[in-house]
Amino acid sequence: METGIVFTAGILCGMMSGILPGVGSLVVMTLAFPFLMTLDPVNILIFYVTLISIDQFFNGITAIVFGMPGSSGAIPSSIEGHAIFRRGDGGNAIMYSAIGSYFASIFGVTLMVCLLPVLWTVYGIWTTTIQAGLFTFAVTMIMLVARNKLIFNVMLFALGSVLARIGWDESTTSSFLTFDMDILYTGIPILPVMSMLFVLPMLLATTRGNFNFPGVSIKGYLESARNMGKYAITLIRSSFLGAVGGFVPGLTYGFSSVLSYTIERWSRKRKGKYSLGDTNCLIASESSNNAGAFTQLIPLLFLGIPITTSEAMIYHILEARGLPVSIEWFSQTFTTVTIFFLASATIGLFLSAKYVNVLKILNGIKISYVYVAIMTFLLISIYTTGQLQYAGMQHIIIALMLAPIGLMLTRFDTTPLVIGYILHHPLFDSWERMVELYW
Amino acid sequence: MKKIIIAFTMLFFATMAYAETKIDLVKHTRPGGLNDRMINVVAEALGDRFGKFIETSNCLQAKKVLENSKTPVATVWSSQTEHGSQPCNLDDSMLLSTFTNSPYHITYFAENKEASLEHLKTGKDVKVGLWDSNFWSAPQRQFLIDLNPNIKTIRYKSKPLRTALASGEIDYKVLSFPGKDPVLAALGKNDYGVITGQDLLPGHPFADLGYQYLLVGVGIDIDLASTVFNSEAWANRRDTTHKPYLQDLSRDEQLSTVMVMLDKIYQSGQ
Repeated sequence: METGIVFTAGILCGMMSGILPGVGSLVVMTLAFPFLMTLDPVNILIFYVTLISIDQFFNGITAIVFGMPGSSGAIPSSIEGHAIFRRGDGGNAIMYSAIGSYFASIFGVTLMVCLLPVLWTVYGIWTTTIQAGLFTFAVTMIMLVARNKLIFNVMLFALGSVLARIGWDESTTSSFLTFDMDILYTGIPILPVMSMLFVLPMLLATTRGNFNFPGVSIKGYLESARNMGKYAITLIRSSFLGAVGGFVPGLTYGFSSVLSYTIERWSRKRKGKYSLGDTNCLIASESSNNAGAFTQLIPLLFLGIPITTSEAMIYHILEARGLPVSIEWFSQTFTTVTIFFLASATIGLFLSAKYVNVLKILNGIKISYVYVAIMTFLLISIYTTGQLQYAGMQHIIIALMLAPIGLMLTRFDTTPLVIGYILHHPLFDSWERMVELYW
Repeated sequence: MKKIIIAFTMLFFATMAYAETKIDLVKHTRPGGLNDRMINVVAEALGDRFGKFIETSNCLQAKKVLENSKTPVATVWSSQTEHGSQPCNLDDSMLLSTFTNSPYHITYFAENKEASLEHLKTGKDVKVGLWDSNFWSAPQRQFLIDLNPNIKTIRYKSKPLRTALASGEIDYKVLSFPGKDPVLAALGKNDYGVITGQDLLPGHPFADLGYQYLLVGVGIDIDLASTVFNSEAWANRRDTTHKPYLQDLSRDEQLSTVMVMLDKIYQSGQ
């Protein structure tokens, strides 16, 4: 009975975190904390895997239809998916990404089951060197594949890095570019950065035409599944890369998406096949997300090491309730967790199709009106998520300060800037550690 | 008669207000971390008096909540945040008392067969992971290097530090709460029966080194520390290395002792 309620709650919460930008799985987990404290320990894990699995499907839809990335992992889907949507092919974009995601979920699970006997050794190779190499590779690729000149990409990346560093650093007890302004000490939050420096320039690039969404259907899904053969290499490669990216502490499937996307885009560009709104790139980012969403659980389940804040929260709840948080216990729950992950992926596939068809009511409306609504919605989200920390107005002011930069960047691809913001800390931290470790 | 009625009415509402005054708790560190867990223990210990959690992203946001709150609000505060002049420094009136202290533990990965005291003291290429804190890593590093000049210390943020031992790129790590990892030594009296900092380097300025928390808040009408320490939540806590700290001293004595100690660590660490 409790498991059923938890599973349903996980689905609803996953939908909420996927649809609403800024409301990621961590926010939902924090809000659900009192509820989680009362649950059977296995059900806490079930809630979490259901939440992140469903979140992936709905997150993709918001990114494709509205160009709003709910999280850093959905940025590639916003770039490619929304461009496909604007071509009037949104239905196919959603169906391909959903089928790809579903395949990747199964791939992630199968890969981990096959590797079970050696999984405990995974962190034996997961060193700072490997992590720094992966981050460096992803950043280099994004510089090479973004649509601007290389030098401009480097400048955008540097700007993103600077934005990420602004604020007071508690560990080094130093501040960076705060100009003694109260508002800057707490740093630049992610939602204003993504909204004003990524979504705003992207939406402003094309504001002509009407909202045109043909919808999705079961027949369409089946056809997409049949056609998946021509994307097989993309799918397998990105599912594998996604599975690897899921092990990166702190970033997990967000990094999976960026890594797979950049490699796919580089590969397509090299073959001279890439143009904005590329289905292969969309499938790569969406499928890697889902594979990474599962593999990120492995360190917790097999080493007892939580590598995301949500997992740390789960670990703490189990500990606080005096439950046996041993590797043996986690390992025993693996089968249950896997079954619920696959079940929620299946439900996510169908639920997201139901949800997305509701959006057909917007058909015919001028796209510029929809974009104004999106930006208004984002501003409300910035305020409300900021207000959770009593800083709603501060976040709005920061967003408005960033807006002119976003307006200036309308003609450019701002992906390097956002990636610079997201990867700044893990990239430079891993480099610093490398120096300390080997020099 | 009118005055009596007014007086009773006021008394009634005052009593009501007191009875219903909840204490909110500010969270200001990553979920699931030590500080977060400590705040959860306080929340549980408060029972019916607990209001709600207020989520903030860092000590500065937490400070703002404390400064602007019109209702009772409290939190668990790392002692070093009050050292020197920092944007997070709280007004003295907000510092309620000391809370807990735990010695730093030197831990290793259970699968690491090479890990031993002998290796720590005499190994040629020993790598030790430290938590990325300017304040604490300096004295920890000094102690380790005085123990074995061949020790190399590496600073990690919280998340990579979790996986660093398992990756084999470091041999040991230093933490106040060791979790499930086996403990080799501790910089102070400990529950593990392992060798202490004083045994390793007698008289060293950092042989006894621990991580402390303070209780801070505004509008708190109870002895928060005693409430927590006498609760079932405290008895059942997981972070058992953290023990009540300086509770036999007065509030002013507690705080001045901590500040003097922090200053000494800071000066020696420089």
